[in-house]
Amino acid sequence: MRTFCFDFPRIFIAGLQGGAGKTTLTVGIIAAWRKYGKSIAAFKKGPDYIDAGWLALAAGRPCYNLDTFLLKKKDVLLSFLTHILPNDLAVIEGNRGLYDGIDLEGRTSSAELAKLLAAPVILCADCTKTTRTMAAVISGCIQFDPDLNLQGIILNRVAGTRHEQNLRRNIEHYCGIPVVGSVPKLDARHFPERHMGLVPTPEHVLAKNAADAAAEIAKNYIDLELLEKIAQSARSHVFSLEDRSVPAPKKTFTAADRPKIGIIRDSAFQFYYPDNIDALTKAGAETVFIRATEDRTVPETDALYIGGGFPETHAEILAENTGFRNEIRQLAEKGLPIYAECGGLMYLGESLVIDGKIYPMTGVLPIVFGISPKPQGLGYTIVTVDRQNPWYPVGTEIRGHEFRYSRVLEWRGSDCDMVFRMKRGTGFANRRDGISYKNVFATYTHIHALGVPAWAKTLVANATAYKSSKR
Amino acid sequence: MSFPRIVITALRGGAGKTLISIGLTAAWKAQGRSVAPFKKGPDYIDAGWLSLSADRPCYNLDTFLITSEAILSSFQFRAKAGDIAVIEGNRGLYDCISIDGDTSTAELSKLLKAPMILCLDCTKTTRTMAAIVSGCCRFDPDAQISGVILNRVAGSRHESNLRSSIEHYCGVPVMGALPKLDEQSFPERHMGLVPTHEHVWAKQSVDAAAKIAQKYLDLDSLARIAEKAAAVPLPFAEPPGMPFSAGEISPVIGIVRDSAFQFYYPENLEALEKAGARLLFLSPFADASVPDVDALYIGGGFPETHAGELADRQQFREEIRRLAENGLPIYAECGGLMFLGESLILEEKKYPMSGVLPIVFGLSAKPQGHGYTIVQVSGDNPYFPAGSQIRGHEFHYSHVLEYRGKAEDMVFSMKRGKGITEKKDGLCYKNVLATYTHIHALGTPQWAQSLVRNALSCRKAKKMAAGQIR
Repeated sequence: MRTFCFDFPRIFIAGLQGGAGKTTLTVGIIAAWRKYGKSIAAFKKGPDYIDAGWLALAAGRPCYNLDTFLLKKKDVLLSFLTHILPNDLAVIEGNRGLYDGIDLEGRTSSAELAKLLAAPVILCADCTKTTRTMAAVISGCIQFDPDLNLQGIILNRVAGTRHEQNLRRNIEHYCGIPVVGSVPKLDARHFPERHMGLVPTPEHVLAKNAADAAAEIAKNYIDLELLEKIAQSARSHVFSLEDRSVPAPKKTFTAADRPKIGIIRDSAFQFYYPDNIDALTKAGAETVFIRATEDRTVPETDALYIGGGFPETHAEILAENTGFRNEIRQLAEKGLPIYAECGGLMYLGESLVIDGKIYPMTGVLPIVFGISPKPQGLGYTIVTVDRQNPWYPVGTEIRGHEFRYSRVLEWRGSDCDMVFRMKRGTGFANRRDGISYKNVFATYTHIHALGVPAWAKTLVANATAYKSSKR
Repeated sequence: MSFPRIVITALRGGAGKTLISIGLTAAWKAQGRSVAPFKKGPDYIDAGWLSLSADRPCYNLDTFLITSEAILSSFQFRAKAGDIAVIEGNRGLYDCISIDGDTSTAELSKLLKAPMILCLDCTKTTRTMAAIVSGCCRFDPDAQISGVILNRVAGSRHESNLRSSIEHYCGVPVMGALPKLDEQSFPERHMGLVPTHEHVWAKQSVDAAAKIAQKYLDLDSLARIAEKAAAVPLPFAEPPGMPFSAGEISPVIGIVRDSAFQFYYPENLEALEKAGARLLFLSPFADASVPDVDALYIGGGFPETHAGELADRQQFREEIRRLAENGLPIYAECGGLMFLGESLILEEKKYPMSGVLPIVFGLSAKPQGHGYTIVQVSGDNPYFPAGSQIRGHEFHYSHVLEYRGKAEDMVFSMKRGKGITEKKDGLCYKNVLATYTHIHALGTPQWAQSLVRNALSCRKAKKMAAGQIR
């Protein structure tokens, strides 16, 4: 057994529901603290690339996802510990409502994660058109799980001082919990919130401006000192794990043997958990970033990883890069290992049809995709591997999530080409997913490397095998 | 008398309460039930919709504006035998201006011993709703939450998660689940407007709400909850109104009611009749000149959206001014106050109003006064004795650009609320009294009596003048 300890300040920002303004406030708190010279380790609960991208921008370093559906609890604990640097203050943003989980017991909820991390919780409450009732709502949340360390409330979308005073008085009187901030209804002048649904990148001036605006909001309307005191009040949390649950050290190859994995990352393909890329490096690979939107030729690599993103908003530019598309198809035919998720799956298809216009994709897989205005699959997935393939042994169960607007217009393959049976989720077609063709694997399910440790090892092993086959 | 009753409330404003109340009222009516609608709070618009869907007046019940006794009396005597009462709450069920919650929807439901149904906006939340509902159930153990309605549910997985969590943790039954509705299913944009029977869109909206209720609400279970309440006796209350004898001659009070001036509590008009007046409805749009009346009551509304049309009615405006100068009693609230001013300036364009009062109004994008008011009558006027206190509410986007009168001409001191300017309101000139505060006749019984008394004096004076000429 090995003993570990969380002895650093930490705080968990949760909401009563999605859309309560949690992300804006969390981005603001992190960015404001950073301006005051603090070092912030940012975490996001749940399968989410976009909010995590904003938190990373605000913190100036990667934001890691923690989720008790995708990851075993011991991996959540280790991940949390591993990503903390000396003198860090950890900020974890929840998702959806505080107690929302996958079952009646609330498993995988933000509350469950906050308890696991022994982090004090701050609840953001959208106060639109309500006053004293909020005291009943918050006391309900306090009583619902007495083990949760609910330490403060941030009032959001407050409509003036009278509204604020009424809310403060009632919450402090009935709930015995401090109000640590009161943020007015904000309009586009204060905060360009419309950007928040997009993945920010450091090059985007608008993203930087949005984070700066959020920092100003946090400075003006949140008692950052009190919030820090609450973070400091987090008790030391000691826990033990079996030795075998501690991950193996980084694998090393000789320079000649080290496989190179190309990661297609550009404005069309943006969805990568930092842990997934880290996992490839830890498994010994060299990673190289490639842009399907700009690079005219595919550099020499031993495998490709194509994540999700928005190929639909980049359909034209992807289609115009004919040489790159054709090379991908030739490489796939030659046996290059390619692992693709969601948007990556779409890019491996034959074409993408948007508003009646056909955009040719790489044509590795015989699929034509369309786009719907509503999500076609949304939520956690559980898949069982039930057919042989070069990636996952038969019988393995994998957890991940799917979130897509695309749908399959034409599929000239068969169910036998798919090796995943969906135990939960929509999948590609007929409750199946995971298309396996030569050394190509494509699926709507996004996995998290810490939840599926075999993924990185297999991708690196397949890359190594391909590399030696080239010789 | 005792009858089935139910309160439709929510966690906050904007949770879909009005749509559900209208739909429930119209759907029950379609089943052949007789529905008596009530609305909590100072509100003309929601009440108008409930009235349209029940096809009878909707009365306002509000424990800030009206005493508990008067509420019990109004509630018991306005419903008829065989009625089922639907009371729509306002804002969140426990929302109140004071910390003890004495004027909240929950208090009204306790006063009327009517069970509450809580409408929940379930957007982007699941099991947390169970924590919230149990918080509401425990917050006031005397409050009776008998069911919940899930609103804006995003599909069957979302619904079943919410249902099982709420039923498991709260022991409260789910009485319906409405999906997120789009514009095609229900034209909600109309809901902020006062409907009238002539409006085809209003009738269509009510029909659409009824269809939604029939499709997604458990109408029979809701009726059973309401019927169970019928067995609970209510405290004895005196019948409302204490007729004021106007003598053998009934004065005529003109009510300016049209698309520009729409905000009248039915109780206010009934109180004038009970106090002995005959009512004559008139409008600057329908009447070229002001008919022969002994007093005028001009309620609130939207003069700003009718500024051009009102300005065009030059003869009508000038007559109002002449009549005011001659001593006609005029009681005006909010939009009525604006119409009595000198002009209304919208986007730098000046629209002349009736010019009775030396005041120029502008319009803001945000409410300039919003909420309950308490006024102390601080100066003499023909309506309220100095020293008395009146409760009402204000809700206006207009503001004063110029006021050339004296501070003493305003006979109300605001103990709560904004008023016209500098915490003053109640602009009095001759027999005219104009204020931003809307009063409710059941909460301010002397209002109807004073207005009728003033109308009677005016009528007598006119008769005497006619007699002298003869």
